Amino acid sequence: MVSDANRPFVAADEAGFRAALTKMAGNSALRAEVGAANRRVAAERFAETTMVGAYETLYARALEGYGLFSGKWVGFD
Amino acid sequence: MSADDPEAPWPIRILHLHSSFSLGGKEARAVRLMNLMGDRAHHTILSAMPDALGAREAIDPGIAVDFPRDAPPLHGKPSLRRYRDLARYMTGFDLLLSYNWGGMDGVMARRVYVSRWWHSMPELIHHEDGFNEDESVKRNWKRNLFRRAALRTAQAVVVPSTLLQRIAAEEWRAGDRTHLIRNGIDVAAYAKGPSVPIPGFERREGEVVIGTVAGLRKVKDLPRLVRAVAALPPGVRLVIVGEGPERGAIAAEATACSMIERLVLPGFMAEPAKWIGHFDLLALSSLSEQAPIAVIEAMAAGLPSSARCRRCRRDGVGREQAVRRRG
Repeated sequence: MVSDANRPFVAADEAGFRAALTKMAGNSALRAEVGAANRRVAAERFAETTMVGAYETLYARALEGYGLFSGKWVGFD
Repeated sequence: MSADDPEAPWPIRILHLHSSFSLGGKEARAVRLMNLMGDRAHHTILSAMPDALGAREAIDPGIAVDFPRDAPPLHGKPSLRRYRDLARYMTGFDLLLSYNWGGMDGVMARRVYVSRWWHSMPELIHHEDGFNEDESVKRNWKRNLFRRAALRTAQAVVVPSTLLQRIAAEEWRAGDRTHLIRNGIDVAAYAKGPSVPIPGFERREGEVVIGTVAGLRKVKDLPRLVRAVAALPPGVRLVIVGEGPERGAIAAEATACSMIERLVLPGFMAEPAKWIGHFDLLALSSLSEQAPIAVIEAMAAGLPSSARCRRCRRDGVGREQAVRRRG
């Protein structure tokens, strides 16, 4: 879920985690670069409107098509 | 009223079956969705931990919500009598929303009695966000059998990650009733930078602030994070925002590592958009949830994250994009 630039700092083991923390803590340019990439990914993939739209469609299936978030009748498959 | 803009003749009565209603990631999302439903819904919340209701404060004042004390209990030993009482209670609603393992007893109650009250039993949608520490690598097989049986008549299972999607679809046999809905946040609100202080924290010249947001629970493995930060240079501080039973153990670990003066424990704070920007990076020492909302919030605030995640060889924070590209 993080950006490609951030992925090397997610570690499966303790040594990798500590190395990632050390590297990040010691390099402000790296933090800025990875942070900017993360912000772009967040805007692309984790927008609230996308999530709410998906819940509206799903819940509407259980409510004969009534959209709880918009108050409209919404399509569902 | 046109067909596109109906006047609902009712507020939709929704029964929420929560494992706990203390304010964690999934509860924050559930409350946000409740707030967005406005006056179109009337909510009733049952918690398997009846005293854990910390998320209550985050519900907007205009939202109709009950925390009934006289409802059939969601917790306790499975028994047909308790299930029957719960199932009968469910027939007074229009929609049932259950969350995580603690809500699964309600799912089973409906499963067992749905044929008796089929004409008045609402649909159920289950939400699964992650597991306790005992199931984070391998699920308990007894619980999986229970989930498989209980979820057979659920209309849908909602999960936030591809790993959980696979578990629900295959291990729990939810198949194509499994729906991947990624957690979303108001990204723009995080772009503005911090606007409120973190209690007990003031930035010092030249320091680096490692932050984390977590319930202070064992599953989060926060003493491990304390030890890791203790090994970093003295100009690095650690801020752990959250509350919980492990507070004492975390402070004790910091004292043992001689880094207590570099640790800030401000307690629980709502509205992370207003303060997460005080961090220079987010660190998670253990990932118990699949798509941790704190990581998404940090990303929206333009922060990098480092995390330790035993499952990430396969999926999770690090691997999910690779899995998505393949599939």
